[in-house]
Amino acid sequence: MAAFVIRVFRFVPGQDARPRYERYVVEGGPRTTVLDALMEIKRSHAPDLAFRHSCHHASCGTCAMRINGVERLACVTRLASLGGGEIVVEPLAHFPLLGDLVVDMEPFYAVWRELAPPLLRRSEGVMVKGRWVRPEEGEGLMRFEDCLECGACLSACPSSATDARFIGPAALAMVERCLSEPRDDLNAKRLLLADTEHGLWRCHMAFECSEVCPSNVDPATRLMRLRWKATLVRLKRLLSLPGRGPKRSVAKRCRDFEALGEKAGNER
Amino acid sequence: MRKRILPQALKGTTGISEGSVARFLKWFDVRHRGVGFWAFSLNRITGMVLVGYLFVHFTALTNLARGPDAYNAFVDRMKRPPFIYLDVALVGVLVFHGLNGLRISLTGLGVATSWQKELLWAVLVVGTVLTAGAAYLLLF
Repeated sequence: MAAFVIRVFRFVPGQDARPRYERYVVEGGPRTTVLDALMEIKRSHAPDLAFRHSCHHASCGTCAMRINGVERLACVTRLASLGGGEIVVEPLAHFPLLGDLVVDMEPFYAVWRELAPPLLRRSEGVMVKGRWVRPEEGEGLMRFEDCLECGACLSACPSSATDARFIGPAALAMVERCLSEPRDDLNAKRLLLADTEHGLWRCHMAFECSEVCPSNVDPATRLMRLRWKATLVRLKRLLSLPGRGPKRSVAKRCRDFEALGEKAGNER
Repeated sequence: MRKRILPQALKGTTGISEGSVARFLKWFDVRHRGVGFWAFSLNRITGMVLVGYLFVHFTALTNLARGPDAYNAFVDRMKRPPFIYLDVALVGVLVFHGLNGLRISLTGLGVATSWQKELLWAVLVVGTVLTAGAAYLLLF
């Protein structure tokens, strides 16, 4: 272990009179990263230090900052790779500063959205109120895109506690999203698999999935929308109306779902 | 039957490896949970109370078989404390369960789902008013 001296830019607009650099000494080994050092500083020296981090493996870009004057990802920049002497850590330049090492990324994203929209095939569009829109124009769809697949919703759900075969809020919310944004021919099967005892009807509306979701995806609302869609399909089938969805024997559907539920139970 | 894969480290956190009673009790572990979970737990508790009351009610009706005097004496006893207070509590349980049933019927079909917390407060306010009215009629 060696001692590294880190000089960190500190300034909160509206709170501090002027920007300053604070000096911290952190112990580190050959694999210790700048992000590790910042977390240690926050833990041991400056609990009010603001910085962003997320994936810790150069996947999300959240911890981008200037390190010794160069833009780098703090999570994969090792202290030992920066040579000797003090290591200066500063926020990204040319962005509005929110505080310490945190900058406002919204203007960046706004330009990105405006100038570099993703390639859109017609089949990837969504019909909203009679017009085709990009998926990201539908707030609900975008919210589900934020799903981290972390499993927090399933963990918090009381129905999961007593039904190991419950496929859970995230998967059901995904089904609803697929139904809202049809891109393939599997939605009828998805709905058949979800519309069962261990599927969307197992939810007893504690809403805890939405409460704990770290990404504000709100799976409970999606699950309820899915219920409504399933109810409409059932009603149409009952009344023999057009658009009632594919028929499949209850036995066949149960076999399909048993396989899915068994898989979900096994993997849990 | 396929073998279940359950990492040792997950035991006790997923609930899958726990006994059925422990898993059932998770319904009522409201610590650190949101108001929706509290409503879920309370709905189950009130539901079980109402089912229990149904059996008590049937049992009480067996007094009819013992003749009018026995039944009238039983009813007179039920109109006095402490049983009358239990009646007020029963009305509260019934009102909450019924009104919350309306709330989850609405939200369960995707209606006002994002208003579920506000609906719960409305259930509690209306339920309290109705229970207070019933208490007035029963006690005074």
